[in-house]
Amino acid sequence: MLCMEVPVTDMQHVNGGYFLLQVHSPAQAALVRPGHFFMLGMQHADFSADPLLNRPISVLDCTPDDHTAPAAIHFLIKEAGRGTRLLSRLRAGDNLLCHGPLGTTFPEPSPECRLILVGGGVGIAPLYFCARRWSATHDMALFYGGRSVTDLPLQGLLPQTGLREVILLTEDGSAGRRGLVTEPLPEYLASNPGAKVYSCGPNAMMEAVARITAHVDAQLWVSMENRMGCGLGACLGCVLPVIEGDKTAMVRICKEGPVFRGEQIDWKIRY
Amino acid sequence: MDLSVQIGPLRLKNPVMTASGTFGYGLEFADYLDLNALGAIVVKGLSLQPRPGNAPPRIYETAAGMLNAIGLQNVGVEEFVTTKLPALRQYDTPIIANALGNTIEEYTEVCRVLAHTEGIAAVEINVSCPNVKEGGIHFATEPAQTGRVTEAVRRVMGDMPLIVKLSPNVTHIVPFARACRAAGADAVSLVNTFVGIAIDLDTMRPRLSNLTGGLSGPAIKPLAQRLVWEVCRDVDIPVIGIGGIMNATDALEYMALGAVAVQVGTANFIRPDAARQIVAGMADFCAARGITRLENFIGAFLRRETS
Repeated sequence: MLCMEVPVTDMQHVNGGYFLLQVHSPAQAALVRPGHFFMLGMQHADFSADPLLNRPISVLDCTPDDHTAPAAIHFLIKEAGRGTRLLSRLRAGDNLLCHGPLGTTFPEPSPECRLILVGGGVGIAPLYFCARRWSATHDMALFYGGRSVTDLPLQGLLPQTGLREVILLTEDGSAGRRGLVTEPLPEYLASNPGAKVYSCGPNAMMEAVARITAHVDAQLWVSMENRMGCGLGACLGCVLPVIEGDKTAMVRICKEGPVFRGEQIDWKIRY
Repeated sequence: MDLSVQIGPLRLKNPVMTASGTFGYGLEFADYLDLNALGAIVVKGLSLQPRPGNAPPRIYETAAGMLNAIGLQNVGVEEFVTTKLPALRQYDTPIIANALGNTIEEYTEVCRVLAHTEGIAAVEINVSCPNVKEGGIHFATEPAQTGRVTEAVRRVMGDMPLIVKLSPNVTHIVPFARACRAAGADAVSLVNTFVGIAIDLDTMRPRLSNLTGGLSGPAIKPLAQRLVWEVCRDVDIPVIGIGGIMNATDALEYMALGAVAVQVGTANFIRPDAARQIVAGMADFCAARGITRLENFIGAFLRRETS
């Protein structure tokens, strides 16, 4: 992993306070896999004292600038506080402190494996990346949900993923089917035994997915998030209790995660 | 140009150390900077037994700073010596172990192990962690108690340099530094984090599971510098300045106030190579000012004050 200042090459505002940020960094792009995240700096050449800490952001995509090597790293970010608001003001030509790629990744699926993606809101980012990487070679489906259509910032881009099966759900029925993203899952998983499920979204959603996959023939991976200090395993600020055999250990989301096996997460913990 | 400094019996090639708890066990940063470029590495605090630390959430960002309540999560001193330290020995940067305990016996047991371990250059005892109920904080609230633990540790340490890391959460810092000196400490490091609290007005819940946490970052720099200045002025003991150092200017301010060395903490989280950059910035400063020995610059502000 590398920590360097890189140029912003594109910024697009999407609906609902979401934005798409693109940076040019061939050295980092060469290392990026679905599930990775970066710590994005608050401001430019010198330390900004306030806000202070870099923000952990999942990689949405990684694309070549030319026809050979990956160079552009894309992020989907939701404006949620002071830090993400500052990031939203970046423009092409600005420099951004980019530290990564960091953390664990979703496992590369075996050729015959059926892959089911379950995402909520901004949690779509790493799943979009999975779809872009593997939809041409794998049998994949995406279940994508949110409260309302404004919580599905990427739905316009989903055709680019090459996914054949995309099931949208909103709680208010403003896009796709009305209901929770998890509602169609039990039936779908029952008719697709042996599938791998990759999930990212609100903890309550992932917990519901874990409850479903526990009762069917499916393996679940989830991408967790938390406030982070350093992103590289030093500050121990982002830990969560993870079940390892018959023990529970405080494990760093930034280093041993963010991607974990679903059954490792102790969903009872609220924070 | 000579950036080297002397901390009691310990000679460092430059005054920039990494603060305990912000640099892991050192190796986490080897991909980002040449560890040999640092004055010293202070590793995460070590207790006799491993500790799980506090429940999340453990950190919360505040204006120009951050609160943390990690709760001294660590692998324990034996595990450190057997699994972490061997890989650190390849570097020619002094490794300073940070030791903690609930009782004087625990401090002395940890320090006894460290004093007999090859590859440890010095021990810094943490008598001041604000985030665990028995984290040694009671040793930090009365000078006599600080003196007692320092004296007990000094006895088991042999010739190994001993640094005492003091809490800023006291009314007067000077008596604590005096107690450390009298008990045989080679240096004091000033300061640990300031105790703070942050709450969520919507839920009326604390931002940290531990309720209170330790404040670090640029927000505390003037507070910490005041304490460093007071001790440097009044007590004849080497001081290591800590608190909100983000760049060479911040570090040099501490040295002008009398600190013989500095520790970089929170900045490591933002730029993993921050400490290396600060060493480079110090060299630039010396070159620009025609300073051939940085040691001669220590206390420049104090001398001006008294002249």
